[in-house]
Amino acid sequence: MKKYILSTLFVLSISISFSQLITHTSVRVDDSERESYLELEEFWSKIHEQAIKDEYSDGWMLWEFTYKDDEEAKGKPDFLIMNFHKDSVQRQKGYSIDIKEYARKIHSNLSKRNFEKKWNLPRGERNNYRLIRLDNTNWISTLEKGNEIYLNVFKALNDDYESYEMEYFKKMAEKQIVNGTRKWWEFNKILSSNINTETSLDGSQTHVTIDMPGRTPTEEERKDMWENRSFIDKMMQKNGSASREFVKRYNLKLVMWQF
Amino acid sequence: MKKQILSIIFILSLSFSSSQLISYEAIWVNDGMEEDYLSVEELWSEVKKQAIADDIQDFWVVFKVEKDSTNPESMKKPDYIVFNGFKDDEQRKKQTNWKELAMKVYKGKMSKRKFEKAWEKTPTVRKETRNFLVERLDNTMWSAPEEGQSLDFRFNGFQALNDDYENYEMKFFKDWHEKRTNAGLQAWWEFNKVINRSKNANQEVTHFTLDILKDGASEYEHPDSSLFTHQMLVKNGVASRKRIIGDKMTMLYSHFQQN
Repeated sequence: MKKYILSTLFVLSISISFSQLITHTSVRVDDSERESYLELEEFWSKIHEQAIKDEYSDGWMLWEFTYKDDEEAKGKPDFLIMNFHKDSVQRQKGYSIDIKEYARKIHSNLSKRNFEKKWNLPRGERNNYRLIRLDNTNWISTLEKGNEIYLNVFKALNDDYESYEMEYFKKMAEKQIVNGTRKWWEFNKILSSNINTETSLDGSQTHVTIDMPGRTPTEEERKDMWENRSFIDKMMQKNGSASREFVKRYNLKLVMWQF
Repeated sequence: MKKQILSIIFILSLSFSSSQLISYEAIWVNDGMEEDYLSVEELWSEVKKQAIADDIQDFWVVFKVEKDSTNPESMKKPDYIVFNGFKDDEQRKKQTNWKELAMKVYKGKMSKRKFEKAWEKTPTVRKETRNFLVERLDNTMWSAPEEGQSLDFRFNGFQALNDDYENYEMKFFKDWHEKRTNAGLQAWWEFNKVINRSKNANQEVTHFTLDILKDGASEYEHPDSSLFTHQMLVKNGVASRKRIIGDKMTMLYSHFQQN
Protein backbone atom coordinates (compact mmCIF):
# COMPACT_ATOMS: atom_id res chain seq x y z
CA MET A 1 0.00 0.00 0.00
CA LYS A 2 2.84 2.34 0.89
CA LYS A 3 4.50 1.50 -2.42
CA TYR A 4 1.26 2.23 -4.25
CA ILE A 5 0.96 5.62 -2.59
CA LEU A 6 4.57 6.39 -3.42
CA SER A 7 4.02 5.36 -7.03
CA THR A 8 0.97 7.53 -7.28
CA LEU A 9 2.88 10.45 -5.89
CA PHE A 10 5.65 9.76 -8.39
CA VAL A 11 3.13 10.00 -11.24
CA LEU A 12 1.66 13.20 -9.97
CA SER A 13 5.04 14.65 -9.35
CA ILE A 14 6.57 13.81 -12.68
CA SER A 15 3.74 13.87 -15.17
CA ILE A 16 2.59 17.38 -14.37
CA SER A 17 6.01 18.86 -14.23
CA PHE A 18 7.28 19.73 -17.70
CA SER A 19 9.32 22.64 -16.40
CA GLN A 20 10.67 20.62 -13.50
CA LEU A 21 14.26 21.38 -12.59
CA ILE A 22 16.46 18.42 -11.74
CA THR A 23 19.95 18.17 -10.34
CA HIS A 24 21.94 15.04 -11.13
CA THR A 25 24.86 14.53 -8.79
CA SER A 26 27.26 11.75 -9.70
CA VAL A 27 29.16 10.39 -6.71
CA ARG A 28 32.40 8.40 -6.57
CA VAL A 29 33.15 6.56 -3.35
CA ASP A 30 36.00 4.27 -2.43
CA ASP A 31 35.00 0.65 -1.96
CA SER A 32 36.04 0.92 1.69
CA GLU A 33 33.59 3.81 2.21
CA ARG A 34 30.62 2.35 0.37
CA GLU A 35 28.69 1.20 3.44
CA SER A 36 29.29 4.50 5.24
CA TYR A 37 28.14 6.40 2.17
CA LEU A 38 24.87 4.43 2.07
CA GLU A 39 24.44 5.16 5.79
CA LEU A 40 24.82 8.87 4.96
CA GLU A 41 22.10 8.62 2.32
CA GLU A 42 19.79 6.77 4.75
CA PHE A 43 20.35 9.72 7.09
CA TRP A 44 19.57 12.17 4.27
CA SER A 45 16.52 10.21 3.12
CA LYS A 46 14.60 11.36 6.21
CA ILE A 47 15.68 14.97 5.60
CA HIS A 48 14.45 14.79 2.01
CA GLU A 49 11.15 13.26 3.16
CA GLN A 50 10.51 16.28 5.38
CA ALA A 51 11.80 18.78 2.78
CA ILE A 52 9.24 17.43 0.31
CA LYS A 53 6.47 17.78 2.92
CA ASP A 54 7.64 21.35 3.57
CA GLU A 55 7.68 22.03 -0.20
CA TYR A 56 11.38 22.77 -0.33
CA SER A 57 11.76 19.93 -2.81
CA ASP A 58 9.67 17.87 -5.20
CA GLY A 59 11.51 14.55 -4.96
CA TRP A 60 14.76 12.76 -4.33
CA MET A 61 16.21 9.53 -5.69
CA LEU A 62 19.42 7.62 -5.15
CA TRP A 63 20.56 5.32 -7.95
CA GLU A 64 23.53 3.01 -8.12
CA PHE A 65 25.51 2.69 -11.36
CA THR A 66 25.88 -0.92 -12.50
CA TYR A 67 28.76 -2.05 -14.69
CA LYS A 68 29.55 -5.29 -16.50
CA ASP A 69 32.94 -5.61 -14.83
CA ASP A 70 35.69 -3.68 -13.07
CA GLU A 71 37.16 -2.62 -16.39
CA GLU A 72 33.92 -0.88 -17.41
CA ALA A 73 33.59 0.68 -13.96
CA LYS A 74 37.07 2.17 -14.07
CA GLY A 75 36.94 5.96 -13.69
CA LYS A 76 33.14 5.97 -13.59
CA PRO A 77 30.82 7.15 -10.80
CA ASP A 78 29.23 4.77 -8.29
CA PHE A 79 25.99 6.57 -7.40
CA LEU A 80 23.66 9.14 -8.91
CA ILE A 81 21.53 11.45 -6.78
CA MET A 82 18.54 13.08 -8.43
CA ASN A 83 16.97 16.10 -6.75
CA PHE A 84 13.72 17.39 -8.21
CA HIS A 85 12.26 20.89 -7.85
CA LYS A 86 8.97 21.85 -9.41
CA ASP A 87 10.43 25.19 -10.57
CA SER A 88 13.21 27.70 -9.89
CA VAL A 89 11.20 29.34 -7.08
CA GLN A 90 11.02 26.09 -5.14
CA ARG A 91 14.68 25.39 -5.77
CA GLN A 92 15.64 28.84 -4.49
CA LYS A 93 13.45 28.28 -1.44
CA GLY A 94 15.21 24.96 -0.79
CA TYR A 95 18.64 26.51 -1.13
CA SER A 96 17.81 29.39 1.20
CA ILE A 97 17.38 27.28 4.33
CA ASP A 98 20.17 26.49 6.79
CA ILE A 99 20.23 22.84 5.86
CA LYS A 100 22.29 21.68 8.82
CA GLU A 101 19.94 23.30 11.29
CA TYR A 102 16.97 21.88 9.36
CA ALA A 103 18.55 18.40 9.43
CA ARG A 104 19.23 18.67 13.16
CA LYS A 105 15.52 19.37 13.77
CA ILE A 106 14.51 16.36 11.71
CA HIS A 107 17.03 14.11 13.47
CA SER A 108 16.26 15.53 16.89
CA ASN A 109 16.34 12.03 18.36
CA LEU A 110 20.10 11.87 17.68
CA SER A 111 22.58 13.20 20.20
CA LYS A 112 24.72 16.10 18.99
CA ARG A 113 27.71 13.75 18.77
CA ASN A 114 25.80 11.13 16.83
CA PHE A 115 24.31 13.79 14.56
CA GLU A 116 27.80 15.16 13.80
CA LYS A 117 29.01 11.60 13.17
CA LYS A 118 26.24 11.04 10.63
CA TRP A 119 26.64 14.50 9.14
CA ASN A 120 30.32 13.87 8.51
CA LEU A 121 29.97 10.44 6.93
CA PRO A 122 31.91 10.16 3.63
CA ARG A 123 30.18 12.11 0.86
CA GLY A 124 32.37 10.90 -2.01
CA GLU A 125 33.60 13.04 -4.88
CA ARG A 126 30.80 14.75 -6.76
CA ASN A 127 29.96 16.31 -10.10
CA ASN A 128 26.71 18.23 -10.50
CA TYR A 129 24.55 18.63 -13.58
CA ARG A 130 21.54 20.97 -13.70
CA LEU A 131 18.77 19.79 -16.00
CA ILE A 132 15.31 20.89 -17.04
CA ARG A 133 12.63 18.33 -17.84
CA LEU A 134 11.39 18.89 -21.38
CA ASP A 135 9.03 15.95 -21.64
CA ASN A 136 8.12 12.54 -20.26
CA THR A 137 5.59 9.73 -20.61
CA ASN A 138 2.96 9.04 -17.97
CA TRP A 139 4.04 6.85 -15.08
CA ILE A 140 1.69 3.88 -14.79
CA SER A 141 3.96 1.43 -13.02
CA THR A 142 5.16 0.76 -9.49
CA LEU A 143 8.39 2.17 -8.17
CA GLU A 144 10.46 -0.52 -6.47
CA LYS A 145 13.92 -0.82 -5.00
CA GLY A 146 16.14 -2.37 -7.67
CA ASN A 147 14.19 -0.82 -10.59
CA GLU A 148 16.59 -0.48 -13.50
CA ILE A 149 16.92 2.49 -15.81
CA TYR A 150 19.12 3.49 -18.73
CA LEU A 151 20.45 7.01 -18.65
CA ASN A 152 21.45 8.07 -22.16
CA VAL A 153 23.58 11.13 -22.77
CA PHE A 154 23.29 12.94 -26.11
CA LYS A 155 24.73 15.89 -27.93
CA ALA A 156 22.19 17.72 -30.15
CA LEU A 157 23.49 18.12 -33.69
CA ASN A 158 20.76 20.32 -35.13
CA ASP A 159 17.69 22.40 -34.24
CA ASP A 160 15.28 19.54 -34.99
CA TYR A 161 16.65 17.25 -32.27
CA GLU A 162 14.38 18.25 -29.37
CA SER A 163 11.30 17.97 -31.60
CA TYR A 164 12.41 14.53 -32.83
CA GLU A 165 12.52 13.38 -29.20
CA MET A 166 9.26 14.98 -28.12
CA GLU A 167 7.18 14.60 -31.29
CA TYR A 168 8.44 11.26 -32.57
CA PHE A 169 10.57 9.15 -30.20
CA LYS A 170 8.16 9.81 -27.31
CA LYS A 171 5.34 8.24 -29.35
CA MET A 172 7.47 5.11 -29.86
CA ALA A 173 8.07 4.97 -26.09
CA GLU A 174 4.34 5.37 -25.44
CA LYS A 175 3.56 2.41 -27.72
CA GLN A 176 6.06 0.33 -25.76
CA ILE A 177 4.49 1.42 -22.48
CA VAL A 178 1.10 0.28 -23.77
CA ASN A 179 2.43 -3.18 -24.66
CA GLY A 180 4.43 -3.41 -21.44
CA THR A 181 7.95 -3.49 -22.91
CA ARG A 182 8.76 -0.13 -21.33
CA LYS A 183 7.78 1.64 -18.13
CA TRP A 184 9.11 5.16 -18.53
CA TRP A 185 10.76 7.67 -20.83
CA GLU A 186 11.90 11.17 -19.97
CA PHE A 187 13.81 13.84 -21.85
CA ASN A 188 15.92 16.49 -20.14
CA LYS A 189 18.05 19.33 -21.32
CA ILE A 190 21.38 19.93 -19.58
CA LEU A 191 21.45 23.55 -18.39
CA SER A 192 24.86 23.58 -16.73
CA SER A 193 27.44 21.36 -15.12
CA ASN A 194 29.78 21.77 -12.17
CA ILE A 195 32.65 19.33 -12.53
CA ASN A 196 34.78 18.78 -9.43
CA THR A 197 36.28 15.40 -10.11
CA GLU A 198 37.23 13.10 -12.96
CA THR A 199 34.41 12.67 -15.49
CA SER A 200 33.87 10.51 -18.53
CA LEU A 201 31.93 13.37 -20.18
CA ASP A 202 33.61 16.32 -21.85
CA GLY A 203 30.93 18.94 -21.12
CA SER A 204 29.69 19.25 -24.71
CA GLN A 205 26.67 17.01 -24.03
CA THR A 206 23.30 18.73 -24.25
CA HIS A 207 20.52 16.29 -23.35
CA VAL A 208 19.73 13.23 -21.27
CA THR A 209 17.00 10.65 -21.73
CA ILE A 210 16.01 8.11 -19.11
CA ASP A 211 14.34 4.84 -20.08
CA MET A 212 12.93 2.28 -17.71
CA PRO A 213 12.56 -1.05 -19.52
CA GLY A 214 9.53 -3.29 -19.04
CA ARG A 215 9.18 -6.93 -20.00
CA THR A 216 11.39 -8.37 -22.74
CA PRO A 217 9.66 -7.89 -26.12
CA THR A 218 8.57 -11.00 -28.00
CA GLU A 219 10.17 -11.86 -31.34
CA GLU A 220 7.03 -10.61 -33.10
CA GLU A 221 7.14 -7.29 -31.24
CA ARG A 222 10.82 -6.93 -32.06
CA LYS A 223 10.04 -7.56 -35.75
CA ASP A 224 7.20 -5.03 -35.71
CA MET A 225 9.49 -2.50 -34.12
CA TRP A 226 12.37 -2.92 -36.58
CA GLU A 227 11.87 -5.21 -39.58
CA ASN A 228 8.26 -4.34 -40.40
CA ARG A 229 8.74 -0.61 -40.01
CA SER A 230 7.05 1.65 -42.54
CA PHE A 231 9.19 3.89 -44.74
CA ILE A 232 8.00 6.88 -42.73
CA ASP A 233 9.17 5.29 -39.46
CA LYS A 234 12.50 4.30 -41.03
CA MET A 235 13.12 7.86 -42.21
CA MET A 236 12.02 9.44 -38.93
CA GLN A 237 14.29 7.12 -36.97
CA LYS A 238 17.19 7.59 -39.39
CA ASN A 239 16.96 11.38 -39.44
CA GLY A 240 16.04 11.60 -35.77
CA SER A 241 19.12 9.58 -34.86
CA ALA A 242 21.20 11.79 -37.14
CA SER A 243 20.00 14.87 -35.26
CA ARG A 244 21.90 13.77 -32.14
CA GLU A 245 25.18 12.17 -31.22
CA PHE A 246 24.76 9.28 -28.82
CA VAL A 247 27.52 9.80 -26.28
CA LYS A 248 27.08 7.24 -23.53
CA ARG A 249 24.61 4.92 -21.85
CA TYR A 250 24.68 4.27 -18.12
CA ASN A 251 22.79 1.47 -16.38
CA LEU A 252 21.45 2.27 -12.93
CA LYS A 253 19.32 0.60 -10.28
CA LEU A 254 17.16 2.30 -7.69
CA VAL A 255 18.42 2.32 -4.11
CA MET A 256 16.32 4.92 -2.22
CA TRP A 257 13.73 7.54 -3.06
CA GLN A 258 11.31 10.05 -1.58
CA PHE A 259 8.40 11.76 -3.36
CA MET B 1 -14.92 17.46 -75.50
CA LYS B 2 -11.76 16.51 -77.37
CA LYS B 3 -9.81 17.09 -74.13
CA GLN B 4 -12.26 14.92 -72.24
CA ILE B 5 -11.80 12.03 -74.63
CA LEU B 6 -8.05 12.46 -74.53
CA SER B 7 -8.21 12.45 -70.77
CA ILE B 8 -10.11 9.22 -70.60
CA ILE B 9 -7.76 7.53 -73.03
CA PHE B 10 -4.84 8.89 -71.06
CA ILE B 11 -6.11 7.04 -67.98
CA LEU B 12 -6.54 3.78 -69.71
CA SER B 13 -3.13 3.91 -71.15
CA LEU B 14 -1.17 5.03 -68.13
CA SER B 15 -2.78 3.53 -65.12
CA PHE B 16 -1.84 -0.06 -65.82
CA SER B 17 1.68 0.62 -66.79
CA SER B 18 4.19 0.11 -64.04
CA SER B 19 7.10 -1.14 -66.21
CA GLN B 20 6.28 1.18 -69.07
CA LEU B 21 9.13 2.82 -70.95
CA ILE B 22 8.93 6.35 -72.27
CA SER B 23 11.24 8.08 -74.67
CA TYR B 24 11.47 11.83 -74.15
CA GLU B 25 12.63 14.03 -77.00
CA ALA B 26 13.49 17.62 -76.04
CA ILE B 27 13.40 19.57 -79.31
CA TRP B 28 14.84 22.93 -80.26
CA VAL B 29 13.26 24.14 -83.53
CA ASN B 30 15.30 25.92 -86.21
CA ASP B 31 14.82 29.68 -86.18
CA GLY B 32 11.76 30.71 -88.16
CA MET B 33 10.55 27.11 -88.63
CA GLU B 34 7.91 26.99 -85.91
CA GLU B 35 5.07 26.62 -88.44
CA ASP B 36 7.00 23.95 -90.33
CA TYR B 37 7.64 22.04 -87.12
CA LEU B 38 3.95 22.03 -86.27
CA SER B 39 3.05 20.86 -89.77
CA VAL B 40 5.52 17.99 -89.35
CA GLU B 41 3.90 16.96 -86.06
CA GLU B 42 0.49 17.29 -87.72
CA LEU B 43 1.66 14.82 -90.36
CA TRP B 44 3.12 12.51 -87.72
CA SER B 45 -0.02 12.66 -85.60
CA GLU B 46 -1.93 10.38 -87.96
CA VAL B 47 1.08 8.09 -88.36
CA LYS B 48 1.44 7.73 -84.59
CA LYS B 49 -2.28 7.08 -84.25
CA GLN B 50 -1.90 4.16 -86.67
CA ALA B 51 1.30 2.97 -84.94
CA ILE B 52 -0.57 2.79 -81.64
CA ALA B 53 -3.45 0.93 -83.30
CA ASP B 54 -0.89 -1.50 -84.76
CA ASP B 55 0.66 -2.05 -81.30
CA ILE B 56 3.96 -0.52 -82.37
CA GLN B 57 3.85 1.86 -79.44
CA ASP B 58 1.58 2.71 -76.52
CA PHE B 59 1.14 6.46 -76.64
CA TRP B 60 2.45 9.66 -78.18
CA VAL B 61 2.19 13.20 -76.83
CA VAL B 62 3.60 16.52 -78.05
CA PHE B 63 4.01 19.32 -75.54
CA LYS B 64 4.95 22.93 -76.14
CA VAL B 65 7.25 24.29 -73.44
CA GLU B 66 6.26 27.64 -71.91
CA LYS B 67 9.09 30.17 -71.88
CA ASP B 68 9.52 33.56 -70.31
CA SER B 69 10.93 35.91 -72.94
CA THR B 70 12.24 38.25 -70.23
CA ASN B 71 14.35 35.49 -68.70
CA PRO B 72 17.45 34.43 -70.70
CA GLU B 73 17.69 31.11 -68.78
CA SER B 74 14.08 30.29 -69.60
CA MET B 75 14.76 31.00 -73.30
CA LYS B 76 17.36 28.21 -73.29
CA LYS B 77 14.64 25.63 -72.62
CA PRO B 78 13.58 23.34 -75.49
CA ASP B 79 10.67 24.46 -77.64
CA TYR B 80 8.83 21.14 -77.58
CA ILE B 81 8.94 17.87 -75.69
CA VAL B 82 7.65 14.70 -77.29
CA PHE B 83 6.76 11.59 -75.25
CA ASN B 84 6.77 8.22 -77.01
CA GLY B 85 5.41 5.55 -74.67
CA PHE B 86 6.00 1.81 -74.95
CA LYS B 87 4.36 -0.87 -72.87
CA ASP B 88 7.69 -2.68 -72.52
CA ASP B 89 11.15 -3.00 -74.01
CA GLU B 90 10.02 -5.62 -76.50
CA GLN B 91 7.53 -3.21 -78.03
CA ARG B 92 10.10 -0.41 -77.99
CA LYS B 93 12.59 -2.50 -79.95
CA LYS B 94 10.12 -3.53 -82.66
CA GLN B 95 11.55 -2.66 -86.08
CA THR B 96 9.23 -0.29 -87.92
CA ASN B 97 9.51 1.18 -91.40
CA TRP B 98 7.96 4.53 -90.50
CA LYS B 99 7.87 5.85 -94.05
CA GLU B 100 6.03 2.77 -95.26
CA LEU B 101 3.54 3.13 -92.41
CA ALA B 102 3.09 6.85 -93.14
CA MET B 103 2.49 6.15 -96.84
CA LYS B 104 -0.15 3.59 -95.88
CA VAL B 105 -1.84 6.12 -93.58
CA TYR B 106 -1.89 8.91 -96.20
CA LYS B 107 -2.73 6.68 -99.20
CA GLY B 108 -5.69 8.25 -100.98
CA LYS B 109 -5.58 11.29 -98.69
CA MET B 110 -2.51 12.98 -100.09
CA SER B 111 -0.73 12.86 -103.45
CA LYS B 112 2.56 10.98 -103.52
CA ARG B 113 4.39 14.19 -104.43
CA LYS B 114 2.80 16.15 -101.62
CA PHE B 115 3.50 13.34 -99.19
CA GLU B 116 7.19 13.18 -100.21
CA LYS B 117 7.51 16.94 -99.75
CA ALA B 118 5.93 16.81 -96.32
CA TRP B 119 7.93 13.75 -95.28
CA GLU B 120 11.23 15.32 -96.31
CA LYS B 121 10.50 18.28 -94.07
CA THR B 122 10.81 16.10 -90.94
CA PRO B 123 14.61 16.16 -90.56
CA THR B 124 14.90 19.85 -91.48
CA VAL B 125 12.85 21.48 -88.71
CA ARG B 126 14.91 20.51 -85.68
CA LYS B 127 17.97 22.44 -84.61
CA GLU B 128 18.71 19.98 -81.81
CA THR B 129 17.13 16.99 -80.12
CA ARG B 130 18.12 15.60 -76.73
CA ASN B 131 16.81 12.22 -75.65
CA PHE B 132 16.06 10.44 -72.42
CA LEU B 133 14.71 6.92 -72.04
CA VAL B 134 12.86 6.53 -68.75
CA GLU B 135 11.12 3.73 -66.92
CA ARG B 136 7.83 4.34 -65.11
CA LEU B 137 8.29 3.64 -61.41
CA ASP B 138 4.95 4.82 -60.12
CA ASN B 139 1.88 6.91 -60.84
CA THR B 140 -1.44 7.93 -59.33
CA MET B 141 -4.83 6.96 -60.76
CA TRP B 142 -6.09 9.33 -63.43
CA SER B 143 -8.70 11.84 -62.30
CA ALA B 144 -10.47 13.34 -65.31
CA PRO B 145 -11.00 17.11 -65.39
CA GLU B 146 -14.45 18.65 -65.44
CA GLU B 147 -15.96 19.59 -68.79
CA GLY B 148 -14.14 22.72 -69.98
CA GLN B 149 -11.50 22.55 -67.25
CA SER B 150 -8.00 22.89 -68.69
CA LEU B 151 -4.87 21.21 -67.39
CA ASP B 152 -1.43 22.48 -66.33
CA PHE B 153 1.46 20.15 -67.15
CA ARG B 154 4.49 20.44 -64.86
CA PHE B 155 7.51 18.44 -65.99
CA ASN B 156 10.36 18.20 -63.49
CA GLY B 157 13.76 16.57 -63.80
CA PHE B 158 15.50 15.68 -60.53
CA GLN B 159 18.90 14.45 -59.49
CA ALA B 160 18.66 11.87 -56.70
CA LEU B 161 21.01 12.89 -53.89
CA ASN B 162 20.71 9.76 -51.77
CA ASP B 163 19.33 6.21 -51.74
CA ASP B 164 16.11 7.26 -50.01
CA TYR B 165 14.93 9.51 -52.84
CA GLU B 166 12.83 6.99 -54.82
CA ASN B 167 11.05 5.88 -51.64
CA TYR B 168 10.38 9.48 -50.63
CA GLU B 169 8.61 9.96 -53.99
CA MET B 170 6.70 6.68 -53.95
CA LYS B 171 5.95 6.30 -50.23
CA PHE B 172 5.54 9.89 -49.14
CA PHE B 173 5.07 12.44 -51.94
CA LYS B 174 2.76 10.10 -53.88
CA ASP B 175 0.35 10.13 -50.93
CA TRP B 176 0.38 13.93 -51.11
CA HIS B 177 -0.46 13.83 -54.83
CA GLU B 178 -3.23 11.32 -54.13
CA LYS B 179 -4.72 13.59 -51.47
CA ARG B 180 -4.60 16.50 -53.92
CA THR B 181 -6.21 14.27 -56.53
CA ASN B 182 -8.98 13.26 -54.12
CA ALA B 183 -9.53 16.95 -53.35
CA GLY B 184 -10.19 17.49 -57.09
CA LEU B 185 -7.09 19.60 -57.67
CA GLN B 186 -4.81 17.24 -59.53
CA ALA B 187 -5.39 14.92 -62.45
CA TRP B 188 -2.18 12.89 -62.52
CA TRP B 189 1.30 12.33 -61.11
CA GLU B 190 3.94 10.03 -62.48
CA PHE B 191 7.48 9.20 -61.44
CA ASN B 192 10.07 7.92 -63.90
CA LYS B 193 13.68 6.82 -63.67
CA VAL B 194 16.20 7.68 -66.39
CA ILE B 195 17.70 4.49 -67.79
CA ASN B 196 19.43 5.95 -70.83
CA ARG B 197 20.11 9.32 -72.44
CA SER B 198 21.82 10.89 -75.43
CA LYS B 199 25.28 12.37 -75.00
CA ASN B 200 23.96 15.90 -75.47
CA ALA B 201 21.25 15.51 -72.82
CA ASN B 202 21.63 16.72 -69.26
CA GLN B 203 23.85 14.20 -67.50
CA GLU B 204 22.79 15.01 -63.91
CA VAL B 205 19.07 14.22 -64.09
CA THR B 206 18.23 10.78 -62.72
CA HIS B 207 14.41 10.98 -62.45
CA PHE B 208 11.47 12.85 -63.92
CA THR B 209 8.03 13.62 -62.54
CA LEU B 210 5.01 14.81 -64.47
CA ASP B 211 2.32 16.57 -62.45
CA ILE B 212 -0.93 17.37 -64.22
CA LEU B 213 -2.86 19.97 -62.27
CA LYS B 214 -6.42 21.02 -62.81
CA ASP B 215 -6.66 24.64 -63.84
CA GLY B 216 -8.48 26.94 -61.48
CA ALA B 217 -7.76 24.66 -58.54
CA SER B 218 -7.01 26.46 -55.32
CA GLU B 219 -3.86 26.02 -53.22
CA TYR B 220 -3.84 22.77 -51.30
CA GLU B 221 -2.69 22.45 -47.71
CA HIS B 222 -1.87 18.92 -46.62
CA PRO B 223 -3.98 17.93 -43.59
CA ASP B 224 -0.81 16.91 -41.70
CA SER B 225 1.20 20.03 -42.56
CA SER B 226 1.29 21.21 -38.94
CA LEU B 227 2.66 17.89 -37.69
CA PHE B 228 6.38 17.59 -36.96
CA THR B 229 6.63 14.17 -38.65
CA HIS B 230 5.13 15.57 -41.85
CA GLN B 231 7.40 18.63 -41.74
CA MET B 232 10.51 16.45 -41.32
CA LEU B 233 9.48 14.12 -44.15
CA VAL B 234 9.00 17.13 -46.42
CA LYS B 235 12.33 18.62 -45.35
CA ASN B 236 14.31 15.41 -45.78
CA GLY B 237 12.37 14.32 -48.86
CA VAL B 238 13.14 17.62 -50.59
CA ALA B 239 16.77 17.30 -49.47
CA SER B 240 17.01 13.86 -51.10
CA ARG B 241 16.75 15.40 -54.58
CA LYS B 242 17.90 18.42 -56.54
CA ARG B 243 15.62 19.91 -59.17
CA ILE B 244 17.54 20.29 -62.42
CA ILE B 245 14.70 20.78 -64.91
CA GLY B 246 11.36 22.48 -64.29
CA ASP B 247 9.10 23.05 -67.26
CA LYS B 248 5.51 24.15 -67.64
CA MET B 249 3.99 22.72 -70.78
CA THR B 250 0.88 22.80 -72.93
CA MET B 251 -0.30 19.61 -74.62
CA LEU B 252 -0.65 20.01 -78.41
CA TYR B 253 -1.17 16.48 -79.70
CA SER B 254 -1.76 13.13 -78.08
CA HIS B 255 -2.75 9.59 -78.95
CA PHE B 256 -3.16 6.73 -76.50
CA GLN B 257 -3.85 3.03 -76.75
CA GLN B 258 -7.59 2.45 -76.45
CA ASN B 259 -7.54 -0.75 -74.46
